[in-house]
Amino acid sequence: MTLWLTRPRDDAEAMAQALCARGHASLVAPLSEITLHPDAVPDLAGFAGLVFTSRRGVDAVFASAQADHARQMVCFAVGPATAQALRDAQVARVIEGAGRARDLPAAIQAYARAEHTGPLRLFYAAARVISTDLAPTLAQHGHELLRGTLYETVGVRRLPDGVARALHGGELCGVILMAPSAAQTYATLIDDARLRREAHQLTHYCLSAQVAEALQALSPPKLEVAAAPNAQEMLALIGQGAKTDGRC
Amino acid sequence: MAQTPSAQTPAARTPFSLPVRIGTRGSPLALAQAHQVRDMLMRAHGMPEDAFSIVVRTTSGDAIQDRPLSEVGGKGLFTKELEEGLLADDIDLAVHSMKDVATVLPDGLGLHAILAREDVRDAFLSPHAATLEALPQGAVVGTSSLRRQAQVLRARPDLSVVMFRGNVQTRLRKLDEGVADATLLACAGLKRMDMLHHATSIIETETMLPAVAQGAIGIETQNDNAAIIDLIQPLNDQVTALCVTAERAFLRVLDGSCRTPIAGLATLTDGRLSFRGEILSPDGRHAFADAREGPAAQAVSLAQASAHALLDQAGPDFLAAFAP
Repeated sequence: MTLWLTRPRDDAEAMAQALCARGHASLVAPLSEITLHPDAVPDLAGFAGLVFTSRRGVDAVFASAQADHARQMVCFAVGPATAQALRDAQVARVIEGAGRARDLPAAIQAYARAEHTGPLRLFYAAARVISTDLAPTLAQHGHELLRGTLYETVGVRRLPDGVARALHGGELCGVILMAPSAAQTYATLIDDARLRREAHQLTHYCLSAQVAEALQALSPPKLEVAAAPNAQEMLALIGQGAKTDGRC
Repeated sequence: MAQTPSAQTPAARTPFSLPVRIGTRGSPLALAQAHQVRDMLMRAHGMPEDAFSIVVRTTSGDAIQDRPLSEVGGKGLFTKELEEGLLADDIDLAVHSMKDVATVLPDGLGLHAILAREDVRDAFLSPHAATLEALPQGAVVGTSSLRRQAQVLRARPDLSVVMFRGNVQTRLRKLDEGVADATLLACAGLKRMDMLHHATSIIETETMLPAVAQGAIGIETQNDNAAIIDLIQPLNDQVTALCVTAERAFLRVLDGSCRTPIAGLATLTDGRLSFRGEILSPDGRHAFADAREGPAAQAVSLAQASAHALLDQAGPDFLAAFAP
């Protein structure tokens, strides 16, 4: 029996490894896809540094014609995972933030002060929709931040290949939902495919009450919510649920 | 010379423009709730008052004052126009009393923050008696809530119930004018308007189980508006969100409308969820109740199981009898 991972592929594969280490099989079938726009990376000659709040931005920059130039620049990463992605891309100088986008301007200002750089002109390798605007905070210190849309998340329009077959065949024991938008896409696609009865056999592992709320239309009878909205709690929830369920 | 990214990259959505537009109904209670949300956001982010604007929308539920909403039917009578505003990008977030929110939201919208719950209990207000039990034989109770009507008649079949629409101030005025001998209002609303002193007594939930999601304020936004979702996250109370989601799942299974008296309450203590649910006939003659508890992680499933148990107890025709 298998757990269905609905996150974008990279994230899902990382989670699949973590689940595998705990003895659970999984099916990676994303309900959203990441589209990179490496062609949207501008000529970086006019910038003093690069700002990244996700590995996706790193992927886009280093898939672009500006990759060699970018390796020589100072790169500011939101947290450890993004910083590691930059190091893996052989960036010479990585400044690592504390993990939240809102804390990144402080790290940038600390660098500027330590290096006596004066005002910096920075390029932000961003998503189409961002949660925190760094530019106003940086502008207070005289820094200029130009934002480019280098990647975006798009929900899929039909159930991924293999999922319907696995549902029909009773091969799945649970589905892992990490975002309200993914949960809403899931509910819609299950209904469109007339697989509600089959889906009701699954345990729905939800990152938060908000994710569970987005499943109200489907009303799945087996639903579990993580104690806190993070990957560690999700893994703990799945481990506990799988033990109780006995199928996964 | 470097080109500006915006000249050659796909259009990026600005995180949000200021002021942040907070959509609300126009009743004094709804405005108090919208101001509470604004004040909490100001404190959470150190933002000034002029970073927010309160946008008032009249909803269908506000416009219809001459008949019980149970006669009007339909879902989302107090939320539809606000949701249209969200989808049209006229407002950034909508503040709702969660008990007014339909169990299934329009595509693209989500409840991304639920504030810590206020007092879930009902308050008893009367110039003639200290409690519901103490009302004289045949007294008249004013309420627009089918749930309260059914629960009052269940407890006191001798009383009569009359429709009592309007906001809190209107209902207090009607009580003063003698339209009814008593009324019932949510403690949460009275507290939010600093009017709890008007309550004659408080009815414990063991006596009168509240409406699903009573006392909770929810904030609805577009699902893909990451900036606004991030902005409101500090206001989310995980315990309330879980309890309210469970209660709404219970309501969803019962397919409850405003024509069916339904009550439900989830509470969380030490990682265990307790759930109580109740369905009644509008005349209070028939009532079915269920109570259960289990791990917090299974809150939603537990509440759904409670709804199924009630449906089994009541039989298939019970709710259908009150359907439109």
